[in-house]
Amino acid sequence: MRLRWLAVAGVLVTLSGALLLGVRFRPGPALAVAAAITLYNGLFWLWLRRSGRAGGERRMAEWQVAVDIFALVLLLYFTGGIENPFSYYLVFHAAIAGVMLPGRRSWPVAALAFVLYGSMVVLDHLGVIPHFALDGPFRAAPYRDGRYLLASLFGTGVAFGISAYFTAAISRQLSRRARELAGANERLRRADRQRLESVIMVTHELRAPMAAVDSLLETVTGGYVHKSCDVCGALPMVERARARVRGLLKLTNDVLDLHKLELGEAELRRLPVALGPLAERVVEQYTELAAQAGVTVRLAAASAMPAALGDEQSIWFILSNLVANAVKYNRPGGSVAVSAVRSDRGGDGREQAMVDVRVTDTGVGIPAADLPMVFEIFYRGTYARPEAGSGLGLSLVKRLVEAQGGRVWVKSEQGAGSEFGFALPAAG
Amino acid sequence: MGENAKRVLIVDDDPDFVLSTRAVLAGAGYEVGSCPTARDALKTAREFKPDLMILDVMMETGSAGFKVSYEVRSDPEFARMPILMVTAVHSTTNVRFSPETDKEFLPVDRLREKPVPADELLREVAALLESRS
Repeated sequence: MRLRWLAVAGVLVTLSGALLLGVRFRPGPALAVAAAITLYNGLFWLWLRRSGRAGGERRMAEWQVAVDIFALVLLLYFTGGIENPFSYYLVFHAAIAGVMLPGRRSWPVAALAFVLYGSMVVLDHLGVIPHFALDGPFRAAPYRDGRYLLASLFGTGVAFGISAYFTAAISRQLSRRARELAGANERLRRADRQRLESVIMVTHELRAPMAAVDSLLETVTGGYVHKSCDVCGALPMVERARARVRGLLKLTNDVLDLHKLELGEAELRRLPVALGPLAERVVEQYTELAAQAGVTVRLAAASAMPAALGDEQSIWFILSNLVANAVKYNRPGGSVAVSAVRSDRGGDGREQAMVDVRVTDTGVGIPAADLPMVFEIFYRGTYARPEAGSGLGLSLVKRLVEAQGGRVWVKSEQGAGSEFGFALPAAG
Repeated sequence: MGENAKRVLIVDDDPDFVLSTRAVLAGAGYEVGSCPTARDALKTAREFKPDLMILDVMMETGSAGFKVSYEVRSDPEFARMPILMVTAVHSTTNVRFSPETDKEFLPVDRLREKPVPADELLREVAALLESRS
């Protein structure tokens, strides 16, 4: 707060102006007030410097403004009162102080200044206090003229009121902007922290497989393998290392895709997509994998499936991901069912035609404690295997669906199976 | 393996790390067991009765390994068993593990960042077993 020096600056400007214009006044009282203003402001500054309390500075500023206004009114009194052409400086001082003080202080500050100034002028006019005349180019004695006095006070009062109104508005705007900035800063700090945590997670997800590849290859180069061992021979070790490298490549691709979605740079088309033929192709893609796992994949009425509005390639990725998970986390003899039906109410209660696509399995299910985290990045769950994927699949699914105006959901019962679903706007 | 072969239990959810570490340790004459989850680590330890545990940090959760180390140390049967903790990213394990400090510490004997070179792994395991014999 530099308010304390406003009053001092004002005094210097006033006295300098008076000297330049050749205005004469009794210097003693005026200079005494000017010296007092400088002195107590200096003492306030020293006290605050030594105590170092920021909260104390704010409270002290309010008292200082009140004392400054009193001192300025006193200075005006000793330099002609209503005759002083610089009396309007009081209006500026009150206005600036009102803006710079915390809270809605504009009106109380203006009211205090007006009351003190008006009291001084009236008491001077009535002769209750002696008049200190200005001598020089301002010879008229308007302080005796009641009508002039009333007009001048009216004008001064209006000036105080208008300045208080505008400074209050400015002060409110400034407070609101300060709050918005503080909120934005807090959101930026949180986002930055989340970004840093993501970087640490991505680093781990990249480093762990690289470390595994190094260990696997070292068993070969270091001669730790067993020639006759199907699992721990050289070839299996190298093949496993290659599999982890392919996983790493997929991970880096998924990370890039995820970032593109987050930055809004993914190019997603919005066209009618026939879900029936698309679902048939996805199921066919996983027929062999399902057969190896002893899992049956069923598609409900592909020809009757409605069309959705979206990006065909993304919908392919979404459905593939869900069907692949349903097969991988299933059990021998288990099943996966894929269905798509039209729903005439959006998930958020709005009347909007949507297509609900469900992938239901009879697999191991997801523990209830894990359900809220299923769509988080690098979530793999209690029963996941490290080589089962990049850990970003479901995160990508969620972001792709939401980027196309849809929503995702999961229902699961541990030991019984899960239902993963997504809804997209219906086409037509 | 000889009857007096020392037993090492690897608690890690990465099957490739387990496979490569098992190959190195088995080649040096250790009897090796493994457990892929933090949840089953103590139960597996009670069944396998290891002389040393190699324990990963990040398994079901980012700090699953820490929890296992406290659980294992709380069991009187494993209070003196050496624990070699391994992690793929050391910055996630920025904790004190020295028993000399009087504040809370991680009750493991060594912390190494993966990949641990095979010869260093064998030296660490031998040294830790030696210190407890």
